[in-house]
Amino acid sequence: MTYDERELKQLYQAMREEDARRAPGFAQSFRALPRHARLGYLRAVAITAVLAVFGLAIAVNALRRRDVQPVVSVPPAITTHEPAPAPATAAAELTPPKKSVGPRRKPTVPPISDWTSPTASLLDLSNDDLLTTSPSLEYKSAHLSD
Amino acid sequence: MDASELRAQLEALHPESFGWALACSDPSRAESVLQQSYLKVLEGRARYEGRSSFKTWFFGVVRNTAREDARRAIWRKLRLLPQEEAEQVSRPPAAEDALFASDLRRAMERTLALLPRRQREVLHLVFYQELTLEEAAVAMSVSVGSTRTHYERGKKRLRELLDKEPATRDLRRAGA
Repeated sequence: MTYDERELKQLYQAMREEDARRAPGFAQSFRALPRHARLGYLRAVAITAVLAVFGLAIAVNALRRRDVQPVVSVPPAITTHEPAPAPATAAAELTPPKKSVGPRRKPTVPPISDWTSPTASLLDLSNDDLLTTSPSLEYKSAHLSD
Repeated sequence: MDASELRAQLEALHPESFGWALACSDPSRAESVLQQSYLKVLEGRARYEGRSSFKTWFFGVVRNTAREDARRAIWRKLRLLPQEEAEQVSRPPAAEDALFASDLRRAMERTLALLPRRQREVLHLVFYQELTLEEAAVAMSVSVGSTRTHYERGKKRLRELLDKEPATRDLRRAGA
């Protein structure tokens, strides 16, 4: 046998009477508790904001570290007659520059025209001019006349 | 409407508002939800503009506050919000039917918990708060057509569930 509308209403009204007996007083409901809840909510929002800013700072810092790579220029294997480069310059070439904020630096590469063979000193001869100059006709005619 | 008029209106509706807060939210949060609703009204964050009756308008405020409170439940679980304890003062019920009423209340809570939220709300507003379907639609912020649909389906489903609930059959026999 199913409930008609009158019986459904009767059930609800019984609940209503019990709730009215259990309800807190109106004056009691005006305590400061809701204000504390708002402060707590603000605290939750503030903590979340701080964590978000902290996370953002970590992410930005990680991106900046990835963009700036240390620059180490490899000294070329050069043996020349030229005087040895100044120690300060050589040291500067070998010492990696300090990390700084800015665009990526390209490594310095000496021009190819400056390069000489490491075994070039073996080719140094006292009569180098024979190899570097071509014989002239005047020299040959002098010998033939004898 | 000035502050004193607002307070007088809220005080007059207090028992019914508490019942509605019990229906909209977790029973352990009902008093807190009601307090937050009072604060919204008195601080002007919810303004009555006279487009409906004060009761249906305030019931809408309580309903929205209950939903916000449910969404903040996760913050409370993470301990980022204080765990509020609602101090409920209840007068001792009449001795002869105190136990029976409690069983009925529990039985109705069990049964109503099985209904979808909208159906539960419209049945409460119509049978408990004695509102019309049009007034219930305003309190629930839905159309009258939707309200009527939820009402008819809710009634049918509630009858099926109550037929299986022994505590409510006792009330029927007592009333017969």
